[in-house]
Amino acid sequence: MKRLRTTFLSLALVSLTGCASTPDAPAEQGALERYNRSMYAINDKLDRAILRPVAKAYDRVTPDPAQTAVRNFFGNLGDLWIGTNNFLQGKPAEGVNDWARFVFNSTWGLGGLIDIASQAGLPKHNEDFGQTLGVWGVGEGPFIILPLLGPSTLRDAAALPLDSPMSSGPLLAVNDRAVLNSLFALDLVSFRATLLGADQILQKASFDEYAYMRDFYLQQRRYKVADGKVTYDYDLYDDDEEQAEDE
Amino acid sequence: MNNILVTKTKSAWMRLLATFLLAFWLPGATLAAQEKAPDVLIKEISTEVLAVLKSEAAKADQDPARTVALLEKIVLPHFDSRRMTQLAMGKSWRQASEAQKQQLIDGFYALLVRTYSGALTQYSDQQVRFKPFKMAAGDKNVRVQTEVEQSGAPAVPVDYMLRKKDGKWQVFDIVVLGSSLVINYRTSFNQEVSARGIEGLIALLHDEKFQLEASASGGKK
Repeated sequence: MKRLRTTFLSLALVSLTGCASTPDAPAEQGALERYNRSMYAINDKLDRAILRPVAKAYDRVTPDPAQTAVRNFFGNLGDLWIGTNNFLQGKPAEGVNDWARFVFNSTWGLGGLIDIASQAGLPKHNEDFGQTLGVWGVGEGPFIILPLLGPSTLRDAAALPLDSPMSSGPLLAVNDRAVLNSLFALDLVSFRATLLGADQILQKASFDEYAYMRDFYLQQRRYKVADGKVTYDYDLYDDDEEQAEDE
Repeated sequence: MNNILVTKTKSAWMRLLATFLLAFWLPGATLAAQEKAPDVLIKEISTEVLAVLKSEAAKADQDPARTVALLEKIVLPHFDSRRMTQLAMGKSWRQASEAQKQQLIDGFYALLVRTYSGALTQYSDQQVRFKPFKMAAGDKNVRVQTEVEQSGAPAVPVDYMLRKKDGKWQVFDIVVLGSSLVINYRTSFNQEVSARGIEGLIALLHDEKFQLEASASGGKK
């Protein structure tokens, strides 16, 4: 896991240098798309061979309440970094909410196993440093498929060397490598298990799985950066006959 | 917790009852839908869908084809499949003849139903919360905002877009995490149309449909 992160770090740093050039490029062209498609295929093969079967087995043998507790535990660790990003984005109320969640859940929520903060009206947020960079005006850059880690943009990849360790929060203080690695593995498997329905959609939803995934990724990232203030122009391709019906 | 619509059914008995009522209610529900506000309509549909998913998941002889048929019965009257297909096609829609449009609608609709009903079965332990609904008098497109909650993860926003057609509110798009399930098809549909024309896309949609039907009936039995 550590090695994986270092690979990432160098990769992201290399990519950072080219970051400023294309803030609003069209989806993809040429060589980059060819690279992305083949990396997507490789990631998919690895996922099918290893991660997906493990996640399925985990999902089968672990009772739902235990799965929830695992998600809660890692989710709680991430709340500190989520709150930090809310502060960085100039949303102090949300930041305080996130840090308060961590305090409540770490104590009365038995070390984060129970998400009592949500029940008490402190909702969980979704923030990361990639989004913070977006709020600060950094363009997303081209879409890229990272080895092992999947879809990203240049901006999100550049934020990963911070996002990846920081989202584990207090876990970084753990010195025992074996314990740490098992925890990261559990986090990964638990996360993959939550996607077991979604990957099924992806496989069946389109004859161009890659393009569908890419557009979904880009749209949801933009939505998160804008905190949900995104709308579609539904009347752009409106049909003549449909308009006639409205008169 | 009062404002939260907890869609978890309480017991096996309740689930049975829900399925039972569903069969008798549907014709009536469709008639009454004409005066229903968009948010009320979505609440009813999602409650019914979740009830079916729960009762089907609990059954020993799980049959995907039967689940799909049940879901179609609930959803079909409230979806504007023509508008959905048109939005998915974007600029290519106008190139199609009326007969082709009908084939596109059938193919796309079948693809959506089978895809999502198959995957939906995984989502039985989640809860749906409805956000306060707002609409102005002259609104053509209205948005019903919901959040799907799962413990330990941020709530996933799921928005339903509706429009009045023949005096009835109908869903024409579902936006999950800011991503439109319908518009997301535009890139690949248009690519196919420019490579092999409208007929190529129709063939592909219907091909996909057959594959899914085969896998649905050939699955667990």
